Amino acid sequence: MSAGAHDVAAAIAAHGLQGTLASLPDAPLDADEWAVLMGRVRAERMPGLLVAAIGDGALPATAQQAAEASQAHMASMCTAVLLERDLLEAVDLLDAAGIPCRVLKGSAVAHLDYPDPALRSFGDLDLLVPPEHFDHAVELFVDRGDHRQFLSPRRDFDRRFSKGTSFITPFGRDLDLHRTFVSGPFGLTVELPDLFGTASPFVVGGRTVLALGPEERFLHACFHAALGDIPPRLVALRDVAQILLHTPLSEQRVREQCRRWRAEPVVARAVSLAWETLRIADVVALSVWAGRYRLDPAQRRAIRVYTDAAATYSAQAATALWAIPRLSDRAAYLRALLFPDRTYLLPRDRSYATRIRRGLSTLVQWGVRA
Amino acid sequence: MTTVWSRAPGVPWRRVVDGAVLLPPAGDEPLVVTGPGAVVWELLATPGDLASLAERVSSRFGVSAERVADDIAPFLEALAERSLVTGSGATG
Repeated sequence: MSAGAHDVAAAIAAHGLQGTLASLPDAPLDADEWAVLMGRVRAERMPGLLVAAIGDGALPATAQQAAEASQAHMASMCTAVLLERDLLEAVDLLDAAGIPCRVLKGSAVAHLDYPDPALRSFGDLDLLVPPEHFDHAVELFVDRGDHRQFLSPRRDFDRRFSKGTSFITPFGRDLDLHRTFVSGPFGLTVELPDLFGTASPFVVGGRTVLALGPEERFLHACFHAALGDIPPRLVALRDVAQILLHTPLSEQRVREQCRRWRAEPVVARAVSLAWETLRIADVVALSVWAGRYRLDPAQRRAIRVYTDAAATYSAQAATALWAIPRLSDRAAYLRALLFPDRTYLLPRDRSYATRIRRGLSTLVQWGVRA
Repeated sequence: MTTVWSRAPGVPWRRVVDGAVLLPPAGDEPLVVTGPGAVVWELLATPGDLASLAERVSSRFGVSAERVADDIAPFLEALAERSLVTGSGATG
């Protein structure tokens, strides 16, 4: 991606954000740069911000470019409404079984944190359920006809240790069922009951559903931005800044939760990346704190299993071992990973000997105590 | 007896440039409404009868309320056929 289109993409991600210094070009991009930009806008799920920038007169565009942006936005909004109908059906399914849930990311932040939900596109559906209901929730979706994409190494593993699992719904769309925010060490230190202690209601098609409370929503945005993709998605960084700058929340409560969850490195990284990438000049207490935060060596190692280009799910799993507080749980975790059910083992390692060799090698490479 | 129109429950929708995308309860084909149709959909955030909707649209576009009513009546019927709006009787 050319430097020009890259900078424009970041400035579009920052469009409308309080205190941003990111600047857009004062003339329409040439055809090649525009094509690169559109690819990035679609991949980063930013058509809403792009049409807003064009509509506000901040980004000059030819008539053809404006029409293309509008078409991309229309397509992304068609996806959004289809996903929101899936959302209502999924929430109904869980409700009928007495399973509480919280909507994560896309639809929730679109409705609660942006001035117009049309600004925030998304491509899948994310739901969080309490760990004690996780297996039941999986059964409900499987019984409905959803296709589970990843097996669990052993019975009970997902309920106790995993990030969650993913489905392809009968409608051919993606549904992620979460137990926690991320896999690996930082997912295991989140205090899960905190996530259900508060809620933010929002309305989809005239019906009320629940998202995380504002502080927890902000923290989840930080997890997603800091640990989710390499490099971080612009829209994820925008979520971090959008919630922090535009949604009323208690920074003190954020700091307390973040300390309890041992998530300071995650939040500091997310806020610093958002402020730097989106060129935000305004300071708030958390942005000052994030700018001053220094990782110790153990935190740096823990972050590296998410941010190093060579890091894998196995690396995160190995490092997670040390985030499990009880020895008996640690033993169960290790047993599940080294001696999974054969249905899990065969497509991956073919034999327990191979798996143990690979597991030990990963542990040596990545699993240094964090 | 007049009919009071309101958005049907369970209809996700979004604003788009010059319009709105609505998802009918049945089917996987979102419906795109533009121009005055999109304005009517926005106005249906508050339920209203044809006359009050026409009045509000006419003040937006500077066209007579009678003419607007003639235009939006079939539009409301078309939305109702797709279960996007519901009409309920009210004495007035």
